[in-house]
Amino acid sequence: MKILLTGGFLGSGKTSFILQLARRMKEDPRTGDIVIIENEIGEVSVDDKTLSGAGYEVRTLFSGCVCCTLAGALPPTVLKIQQELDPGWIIMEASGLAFPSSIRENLETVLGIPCRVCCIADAQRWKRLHAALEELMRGQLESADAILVNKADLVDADTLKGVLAEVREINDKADVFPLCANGTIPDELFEAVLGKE
Amino acid sequence: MSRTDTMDTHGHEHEHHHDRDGVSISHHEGSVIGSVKGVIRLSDCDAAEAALAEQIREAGKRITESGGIVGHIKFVLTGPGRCSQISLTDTETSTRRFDGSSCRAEGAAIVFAVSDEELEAILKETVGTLIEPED
Repeated sequence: MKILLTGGFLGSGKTSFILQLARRMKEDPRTGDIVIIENEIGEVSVDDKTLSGAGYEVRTLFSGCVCCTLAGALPPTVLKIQQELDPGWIIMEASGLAFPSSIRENLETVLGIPCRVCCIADAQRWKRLHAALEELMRGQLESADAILVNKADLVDADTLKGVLAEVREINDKADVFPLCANGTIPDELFEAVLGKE
Repeated sequence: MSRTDTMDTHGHEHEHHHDRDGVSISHHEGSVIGSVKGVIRLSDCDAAEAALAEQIREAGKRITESGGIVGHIKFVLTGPGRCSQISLTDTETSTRRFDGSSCRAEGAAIVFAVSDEELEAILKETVGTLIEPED
């Protein structure tokens, strides 16, 4: 079983990307079954209904953040999924305020399961949000294996170029791609997100 | 009467404040989170969806006008045979529809740089005018 952690700021398009990715993974015989873990910090959960409504197996952790307040609940949830369903992949959608590096550290330390980290950045709101919430956004992106600059179709070419450059400045080790979350996923992006093995 | 729980791990703050009038306020990583759930007393799902989207846009506008930052406002509306997710990050809502089989509305506004009281008042005066707490 492999784990993909999907992080990124609130409203950046994580759920839309996961829907797109899961559809693509179902077409690929190498990936096996998929279970999605959904984490939302409010008192109500919204995205799990979207994902389960699309036909995916979803487990929910809400009313707290899995990178801190619900950190203790995540490893047993992953173990339970492994024992009961043994999927090829777990896709974990972190809350929009989570630091994926903390989640990766938790899972790798407690369970010894290596995790891929993919973060989504919002090209349309990047400038505004980065100026106001720099520490949070930097912290979310700096340890990702792949960063997808979403809503690339909603900004002009110069703006996109600027966002891509700033993202690469935060994390120069990650594969960085522009993304339109309602489009299709090219092979190169698919491999960068899930790893080449 | 309200209840407050505070937990602190990894230097993150997370605090709950429950309100009886249908809006529940909590905090995380500098954000203020207002959660709302209940029923909309409209039998026409299209009308309920349009009215909820309008109130979500109004809430977002008021948060921005008061100097706050909208992280994400999202609600799920479920009615007989259908389900919609209504989402706002800037000024326009987007709606995604899928199958559903019950009749409830619930969602949250996750915002920055507004006070608990401001967010609570904004949600009560916008989406709260449509969504009634369940009996």
